[in-house]
Amino acid sequence: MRQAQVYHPDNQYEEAILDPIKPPINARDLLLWGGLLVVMGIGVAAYVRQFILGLGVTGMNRPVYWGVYITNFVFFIGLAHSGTFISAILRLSGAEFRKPLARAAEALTLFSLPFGVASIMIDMGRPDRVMNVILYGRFESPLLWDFTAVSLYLFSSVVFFYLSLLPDIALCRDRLEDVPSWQRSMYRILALGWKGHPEQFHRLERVMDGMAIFMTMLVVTVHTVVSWVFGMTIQPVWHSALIGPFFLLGAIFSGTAAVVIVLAILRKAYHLEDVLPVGLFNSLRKLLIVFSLGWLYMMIAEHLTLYYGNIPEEMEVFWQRFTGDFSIMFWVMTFAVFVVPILIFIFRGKNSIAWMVTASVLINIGMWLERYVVIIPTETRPRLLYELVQGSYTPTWTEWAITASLFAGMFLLYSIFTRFFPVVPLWETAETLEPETAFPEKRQRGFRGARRRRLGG
Amino acid sequence: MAKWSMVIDLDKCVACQGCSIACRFENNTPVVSPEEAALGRSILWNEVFPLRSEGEAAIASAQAKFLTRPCMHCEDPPCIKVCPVGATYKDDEGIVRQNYARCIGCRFCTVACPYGVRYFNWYEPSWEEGMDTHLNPDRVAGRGDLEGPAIRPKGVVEKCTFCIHRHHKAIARAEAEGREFRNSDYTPACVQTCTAKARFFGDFDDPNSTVSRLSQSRRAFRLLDEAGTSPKVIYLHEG
Amino acid sequence: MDLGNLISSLFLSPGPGGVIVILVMGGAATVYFFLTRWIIAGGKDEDNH
Repeated sequence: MRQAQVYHPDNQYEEAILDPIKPPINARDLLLWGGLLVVMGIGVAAYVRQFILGLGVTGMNRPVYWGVYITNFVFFIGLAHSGTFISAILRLSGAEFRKPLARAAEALTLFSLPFGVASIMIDMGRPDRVMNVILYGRFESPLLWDFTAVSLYLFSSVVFFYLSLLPDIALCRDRLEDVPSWQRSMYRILALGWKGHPEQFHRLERVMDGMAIFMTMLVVTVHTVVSWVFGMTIQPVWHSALIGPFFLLGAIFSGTAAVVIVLAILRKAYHLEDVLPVGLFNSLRKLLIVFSLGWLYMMIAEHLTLYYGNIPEEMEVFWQRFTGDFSIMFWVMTFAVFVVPILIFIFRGKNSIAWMVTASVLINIGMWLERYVVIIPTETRPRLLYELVQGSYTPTWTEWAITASLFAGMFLLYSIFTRFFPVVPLWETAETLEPETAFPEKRQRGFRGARRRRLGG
Repeated sequence: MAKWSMVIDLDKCVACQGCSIACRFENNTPVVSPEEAALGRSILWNEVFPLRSEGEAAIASAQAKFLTRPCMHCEDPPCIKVCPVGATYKDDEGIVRQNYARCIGCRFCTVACPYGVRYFNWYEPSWEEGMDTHLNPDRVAGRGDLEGPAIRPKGVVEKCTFCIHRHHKAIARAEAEGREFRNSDYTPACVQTCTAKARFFGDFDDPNSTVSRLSQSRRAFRLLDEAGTSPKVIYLHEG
Repeated sequence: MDLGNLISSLFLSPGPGGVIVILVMGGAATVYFFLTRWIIAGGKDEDNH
């Protein structure tokens, strides 16, 4: 068989983008990965102990049946919305600035989703019986909606991510000659024989556009369904139509803030200053300002309705948040998610990556607290029982260790990924998709990618 | 087909907690240590709650109020709706049952139940030395499910079943004696043991049964009627 | 036959829920497989000239 010619788009930053992948695995990598593995190991040990002894090793009790694990579940699924938001929603709206950061954001989706799913498994009293969900699944239960939506979301994200990675894997296959042979075979297998033919790029763009619509629908569905696990019960404050939109907004908010953190780390660690200019952070800053204000709106809409309505069982939960057991968390959350970040964004954030990262870290801490403050107070004052039993909840070291290991796992996957694959999409940020050697018969026809604008323009 | 229902007369209840204890022995509910109990992990299918009383008059009268609470066996139970695997279900006679063999321990039902009648096995159930040899040997005969007084594995949810095994036993006895099963053959342990005879049990669909007559009392009320769960446990107000 | 009862029982009884999950995931897998194949196949005819 004749060896087919391979073409790649021409990207002026190719050197810079491929640089992090080139050096062999060194002591610095091993130190980082080893450290993360140790943290994960502690979490695994804690989980094994929990598996053997039972969920009693957590701080959960009656009536607080759900605790940190479910908070983590909601948080990780929320974090996962970053990638889809940036690569799908911004793709549909034609925001060009998304291109260099699309893959970094999607990778965040991909590597946080599994830990959301894991959180559910960790929370189950009988993880060994998980197959019962398939064998005896009842679609009336919101948990089945969750199961379907999250599985489909994870699966679709993998495909969406992989497809956009395809031309770059092929480029790695052809350009990285000094890497170990196993790594080259990995690129060869994963590239699926990609040749960079204009027709291939053309079809890829079409599929990506189509999938972006589907992914946008999925992203809205997934986080709304996650919130319905709470909203479909008749427990006070949970049972509200606002819980879905509020969860969704929070998800995109924390996800976008997480992208800021990830971009800043990548930029610093892999010397991508030219590829990821400050301008990108300024674009994200505008988005984050909108989301902060949206968050304030939701917050006021929810709590003013509660307060004005003055329904006794809802007021129990309301005061738990504002002045009760969760008041410190509630106010820290308000400052971390809204007050401080919005001030930073408005007065300090422009052209300052350090301030942007500060605000984004605060937002993510705050959003985790928000999930906690939405879920737990209601459980401590459930309907009827708020008069009879007043619950309280203190997480144990097991729960914290497992939480830490989930975050460590996410960082580990992310850092390994960035050492083997280009974290900035080479083909999407290329000046032109015109291959190095032109196709004579294709020249006059041209294709959409050829009229691409320059990066960072 | 009977529709089993319970009436609890709070005026007669002396809060002796006999129902709670009888239930524990009848249904082999695991015992937890005082530390665990302080965390709110004690398992009492039939819990007795002191009611908060407010105001000077309540303090002056020094009258404590109590509420004993079995499962409400709702006609429209929120717990069944949310169970992803059908481990909890309502049988033909309206009893909300729990199959320990299928439960995956997600605790959605415990969160969804507005009455807090569902309990989770945080650890492997255990009994003190000596007690473990005197557990109730009764079992619910059936499809290999674990129900009622069967010893629960850790990590599953359990709840009041109106002593479903007693129902099965009563039917079997009537059969052995060669007679028709009568509704009075079946009584849950809490009703049988109640010191003040404050509890009544029977068929709600039978207009002549004690429960359906008492349900017409002006003192009759249901817990959280506004939640739309249609409980089959009916309380009678004090006084 | 009561169609409404049949449909509601699909959602209420234990079992069919798992089938729905499998159908959704299987459907997605099929669609994604053929989409990927279609993309890779782009421009193949011209190479074989």
